Amino acid sequence: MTENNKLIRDCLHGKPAAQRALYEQYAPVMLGVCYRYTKSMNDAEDVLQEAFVKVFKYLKQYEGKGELGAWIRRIMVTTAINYLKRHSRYQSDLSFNDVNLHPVSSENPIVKSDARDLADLIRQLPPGYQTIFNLHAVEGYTHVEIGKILGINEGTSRSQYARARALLISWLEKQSVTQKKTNYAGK
Amino acid sequence: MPENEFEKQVQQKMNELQFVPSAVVWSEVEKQIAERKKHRLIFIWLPFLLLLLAGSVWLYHSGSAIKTNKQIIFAEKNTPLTTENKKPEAIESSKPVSKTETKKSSANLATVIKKNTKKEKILLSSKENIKTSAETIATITVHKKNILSQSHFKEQVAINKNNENSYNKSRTAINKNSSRSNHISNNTLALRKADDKKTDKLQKEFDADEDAKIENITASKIDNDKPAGSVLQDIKLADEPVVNDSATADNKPYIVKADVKDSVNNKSKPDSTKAITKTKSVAKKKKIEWGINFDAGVSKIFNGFSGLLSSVPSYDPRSYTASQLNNSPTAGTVMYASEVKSGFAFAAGIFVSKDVRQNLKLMTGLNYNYFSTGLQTGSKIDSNKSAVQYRTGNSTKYINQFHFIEVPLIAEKQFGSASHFSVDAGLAFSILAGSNTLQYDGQRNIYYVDNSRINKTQWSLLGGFNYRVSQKKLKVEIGPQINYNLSNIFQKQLYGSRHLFFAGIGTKIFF
Repeated sequence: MTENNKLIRDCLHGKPAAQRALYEQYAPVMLGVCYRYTKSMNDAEDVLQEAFVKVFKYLKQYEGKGELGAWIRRIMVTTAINYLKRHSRYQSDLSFNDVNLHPVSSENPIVKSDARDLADLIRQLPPGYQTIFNLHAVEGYTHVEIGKILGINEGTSRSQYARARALLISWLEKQSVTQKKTNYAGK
Repeated sequence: MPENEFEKQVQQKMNELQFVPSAVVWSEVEKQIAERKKHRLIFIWLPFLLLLLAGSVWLYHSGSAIKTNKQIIFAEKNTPLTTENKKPEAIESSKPVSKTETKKSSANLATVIKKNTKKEKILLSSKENIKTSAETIATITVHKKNILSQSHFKEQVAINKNNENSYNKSRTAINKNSSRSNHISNNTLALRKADDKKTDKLQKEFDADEDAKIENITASKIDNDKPAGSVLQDIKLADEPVVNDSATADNKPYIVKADVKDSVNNKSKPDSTKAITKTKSVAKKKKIEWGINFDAGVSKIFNGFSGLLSSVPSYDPRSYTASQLNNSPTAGTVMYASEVKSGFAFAAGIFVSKDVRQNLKLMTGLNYNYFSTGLQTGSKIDSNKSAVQYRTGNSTKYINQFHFIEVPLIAEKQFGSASHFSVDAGLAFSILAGSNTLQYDGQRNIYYVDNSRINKTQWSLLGGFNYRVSQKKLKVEIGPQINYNLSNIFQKQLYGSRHLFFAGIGTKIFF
């Protein structure tokens, strides 16, 4: 924490070495965050770049409450959502229609995929589902919060999430079956 | 399995997700941060620059005002004033106006002339110049009238009595030769043929006590709106003493009009007095000048004063062992880094200076400074187009350039009032506006540009000698100048102590 405080202080003084160190410390994890919200690595890097500029711009507003990583992560998520809203290739699928509530599946399968595979599956979801799934399942936002962030009803968020979850579980199961078959064939 | 177990697993997996971003991301972030910094600096300095500009404009105009005031005072001091040589500004600033008073004066004038009373004197001016004449006379009168005490007044009355005839003759002459009154100074004579001895005595007193004269000045009231020929001023001799203008050479009469009640009975200054006194005080203000400066010479980087005569290497010698270093650019075995050589430098800017004491002036301004140093490098590396990189070697002479915006504060001491020589010393604050300086990377054995290693703000010591060359309106100072940057030019932890130094010839042109 003390090291981080010094790093933050140096960054606030505009020391390039400190800025570089902060970037190097958090950039890999944050690129993972950006990767989950976008459809390509290039877009993810664009978001990362935009978000880090904001990090250095607003660093003086970080009050030291909570982890710096969590604070930076919130900036990443916000920037990613704004990026999706701004770019037409995401915009069409980001429109959320009010649909009937979809019961959340009670299935809780064991996720055997590694992080990269799971992230790739999440990225295959339609952008609307993808965003809501990321916000709820990974970032831990409530549906009320998601509704405010995306400007949609809480119910819509719940419904979209339920569909996304079900879709992802089915894909995971398919993947699991395929893997089993492969393993069997391999034997 | 508990509820939301799936979400927990996903969360856990996603927190493990990491990628190494490409190098372009950081370079873009860095670039954008630097741009923001530049914009911020502009916003920080903009008010200062505007203030400086406004100050310069104000100083320039106040300088003009001082010149005008000097002209007025010059005119007041026995200078023959004519409509030709009196500038409009001077006329305007010296006009004490009271229409009522003047109307009264004008109305009384005919009577005054007819009665030819002992208490009144009249100045006749030509129709064309009557307005200016009246003002001029008032200005002159103001200086004269307070030199007389009550005792002098009585004597003057006697003088005036003796000169009635002269006055009448003169008035007649003026009426006949009104064209001659264009030259006020030549026309302004009040009863010069009176008692010359008395006049001399009064004049001596006048000359002896100039300060008292200023204190007690009372401006005459003259109607500036009166049509030509109507302004003739009356003087109530019972109330006011009058003295001849020593500058008047001819026997042409002039009228000296003043309200003696103001100067004799009322010791407090009237408003018109204040105006003129103010004029005097403004003239006593310290001199403010502005101009442009240009310096040209040589700049270099060295390790403090001790290393002034030696060149510094382009790498940090503390970071490499002797075995790693090779002084031969062709060796290519370990590493080779060029020495940093001196280069051309110049500075140009504007300044304002103010006399703070006799022979001492303070100067400030805004300068653009260009410093450069030289490096021997190899060929440029084309593979990385986004970054400038050079190989080591000696095939290319590379010029490291530093562009600074500088605000100096300099004290200049002249060696005596009549001396042409002066010495100056001061402090300056500067900001790096740009640079293409190459840094040496010992691991890759290449040079690359990284301005983040340069300290963007610098404090420097200035000093020099000047020789003043004055032409009619132009004053030029020329002489050797030095500039030593107190701040390290690069971050100290990277290269240790390294300072920029400039030596050259400086020129200041005062306007």
